[in-house]
Amino acid sequence: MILDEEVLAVVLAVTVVASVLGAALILRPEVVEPFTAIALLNEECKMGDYPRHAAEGSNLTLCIYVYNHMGKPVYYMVVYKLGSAETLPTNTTPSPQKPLASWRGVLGHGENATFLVEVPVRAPSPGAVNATLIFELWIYDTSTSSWSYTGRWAHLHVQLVSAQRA
Amino acid sequence: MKHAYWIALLLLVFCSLIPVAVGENLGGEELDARVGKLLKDLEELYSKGVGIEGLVKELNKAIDLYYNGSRDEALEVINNIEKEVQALKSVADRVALEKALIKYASVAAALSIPLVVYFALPRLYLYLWYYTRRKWIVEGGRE
Repeated sequence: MILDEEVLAVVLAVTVVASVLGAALILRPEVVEPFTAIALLNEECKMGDYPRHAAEGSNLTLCIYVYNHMGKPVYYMVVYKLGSAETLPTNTTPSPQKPLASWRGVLGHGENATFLVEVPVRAPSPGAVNATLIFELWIYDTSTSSWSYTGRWAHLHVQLVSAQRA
Repeated sequence: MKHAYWIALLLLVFCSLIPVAVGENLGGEELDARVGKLLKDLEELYSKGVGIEGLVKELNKAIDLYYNGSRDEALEVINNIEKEVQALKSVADRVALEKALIKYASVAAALSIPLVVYFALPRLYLYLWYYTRRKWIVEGGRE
């Protein structure tokens, strides 16, 4: 045999590994770990330079980024709440504060949406000098026909100042 | 006086019916229910490999229209999407079958590469070996 048998064996071994790997890649599920994401951006829809102060009763312009990696299209809702460091949501429960505004949309798998929002800022409790702007991500559960909290949220702490100082 | 009483009563009944009628057409929950139902269909279509990017865009447009106050227009867009989804549902199974065939054919092709290499490589090597030496002249021989 002109082609050395050992060389052929090595080439075959490499080919077998490569082909099994290729087949596994074709058969693997499209999404191994489904997730959604939400991020808070500044009014130029960029990270950083977030407002630190806000006049009570004023409106703040911010930008929201939402990403869908659930392996299916999702109907999402971003819920805005005003609270404090003590009323932040957790990975499993939303903030107990009352929703003040919401924005909805549909995203296909792998798609994202970035949109500007104008939110009212006021003291979460009488006399409070700080406020926490909370944005929670909810998705519509088609099996129960109800909204469910994703465990994802973004928040921003701002110091409340008088309208003149702001 | 009696007429005034009846007119007032009729007006009261009429006014109380207006918000109910609007709410039944496209209230917030109604929109959620309709979008949710459509989404279920879109999920099914997507899982079968049907392209739904255009429908998702249209659905977003409908939601934007709804929250910008153009409720009737939003409802019309949703109705059109529902029609399109129904049309796509009828071809979804065929698309799913095609996608599955392509997928498993690709797997079969990938797994058959070692066999092809086992049989074809020595022959190819032999062919190339002789081809590159085709102009060689054998000299010498028996004395």
